[in-house]
Amino acid sequence: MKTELTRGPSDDGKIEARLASRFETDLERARRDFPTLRSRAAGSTGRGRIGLIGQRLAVAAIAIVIVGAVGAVGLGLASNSAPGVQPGPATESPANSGDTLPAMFDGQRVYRAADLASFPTSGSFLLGGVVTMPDFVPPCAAPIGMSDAEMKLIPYCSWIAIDGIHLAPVGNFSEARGLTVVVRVHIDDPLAAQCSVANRPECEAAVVVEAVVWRSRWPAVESPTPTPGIGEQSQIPANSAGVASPPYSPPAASSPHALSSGETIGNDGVPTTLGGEQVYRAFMTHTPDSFLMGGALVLDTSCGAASCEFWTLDGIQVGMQANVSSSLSGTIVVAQVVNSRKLAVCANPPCGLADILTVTDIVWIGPPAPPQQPVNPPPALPSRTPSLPTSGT
Amino acid sequence: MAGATAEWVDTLQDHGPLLLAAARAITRDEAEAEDLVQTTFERAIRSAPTIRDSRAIRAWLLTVQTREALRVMRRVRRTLRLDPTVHELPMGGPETSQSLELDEALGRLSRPIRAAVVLHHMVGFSVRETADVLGVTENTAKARLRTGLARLREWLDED
Repeated sequence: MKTELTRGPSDDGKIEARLASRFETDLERARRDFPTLRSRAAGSTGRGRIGLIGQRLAVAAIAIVIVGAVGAVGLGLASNSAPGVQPGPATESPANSGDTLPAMFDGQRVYRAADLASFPTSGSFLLGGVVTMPDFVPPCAAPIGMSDAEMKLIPYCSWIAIDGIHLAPVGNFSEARGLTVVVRVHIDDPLAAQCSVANRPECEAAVVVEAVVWRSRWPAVESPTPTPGIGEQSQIPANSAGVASPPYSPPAASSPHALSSGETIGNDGVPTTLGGEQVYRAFMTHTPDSFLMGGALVLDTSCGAASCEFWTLDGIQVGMQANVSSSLSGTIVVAQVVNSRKLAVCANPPCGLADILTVTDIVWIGPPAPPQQPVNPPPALPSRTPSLPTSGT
Repeated sequence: MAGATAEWVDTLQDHGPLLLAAARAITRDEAEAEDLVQTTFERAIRSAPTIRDSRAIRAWLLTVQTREALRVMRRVRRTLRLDPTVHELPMGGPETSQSLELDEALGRLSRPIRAAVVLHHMVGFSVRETADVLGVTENTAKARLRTGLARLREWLDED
């Protein structure tokens, strides 16, 4: 393995041996630690979020249950809402599969998520299931180093799914959450050939939506009792993008400021602009010295003492100069924030200066952040305790 | 699907210790390492139906995690200056002082170079695999590894 690398002096071999030995030790330690981390309380923010893996497993399981619980009211043919292949008209009555989804449609089998292993690898096929989307879409920074093809195929920041199968962004699938749909899809898209070797398996397996060929009456989740066989036309207009509800629609903003008519709220409940000024987010890489920043404001009390509690905004620790009550914790806000420096607290004074964002004012208060739901991933709010400079910085 | 999902999560958990050890080695920050593993798991669970080749899972997981580590570094550095010397060390072994010395030297490497060293010399990836994980050419990976080893040799006074 390491013979591929041009050999340096012989002492490189010693260093390599030390590195390998060191990693054995690290691995042993990780084997001891990992089960402990995994078993930490699910849903907690900040340290120990590895425990969420169990929650995500529950998510998948619940999503499967939902497939059998929600019902499509009618069986009708909807117009295609996605560009590309136009579905042909249904020439025969769809046969129900027992849970309101047609097992056959227009003479073709409707695959389900459970049929994953038998998805056709060439040509398109029909996939049926329930559209899922988180209530709260966590911030997702643009991935570094992904090619255009990978961005189109890999659902890196795309949370919309059908029965837990996340869909390639290139399909522009935007049906409303809770709908039961049948879509024409394919895998092994030609774009996959342009993906890197490392990402090619994921690119090849990406599920690309070509068209929506059937959808239940909206919202399926409010009609748990199926009424099969009605043959009713879907009530969703052809252009679903115009009717799809945002994944999270917060109630009207409270004081101190409400949004004006021209301002919009993003998918996660945070305004994108306020007073004509951009609202920055934690994942944005360039900010001016003073700016508006939006996101969930959280008082991290995990250290167990008032003296070491700290605030986070959109997942980043911030200094707090505004007069803010702890009752505001968990609320989505837009704050006036400045880049500042503060004297670090460290174990061995004298301590250095740390760059930190400081909240000087809360300019908009939204609703409390929505509670976590089992079928959706929680917001990523890592409340790390930063390691601050010890000296000389 | 439920069975497949449970099986997939089991598979992920099998890789958990390796991911955690690699994350710790690359980030030098316990909390960030845990977050990285969690982020990797979240993405992996989302992608469960799209990954079939079990042999590629380890490489894929480490690719996701390493790239996330390099990305997160850029984001965190913007707001907080992190002290690279504050992190947990494996203590108690017979070669603790050497371990500390190696740990300190690794910590002085830049993260991209350290990531290359960790993946190749510690995790055991080939140069080609290391390059793929980092999203760089083989020549770039080799250059990073040479630089990394040269600096470690200098700092560890191995000659």
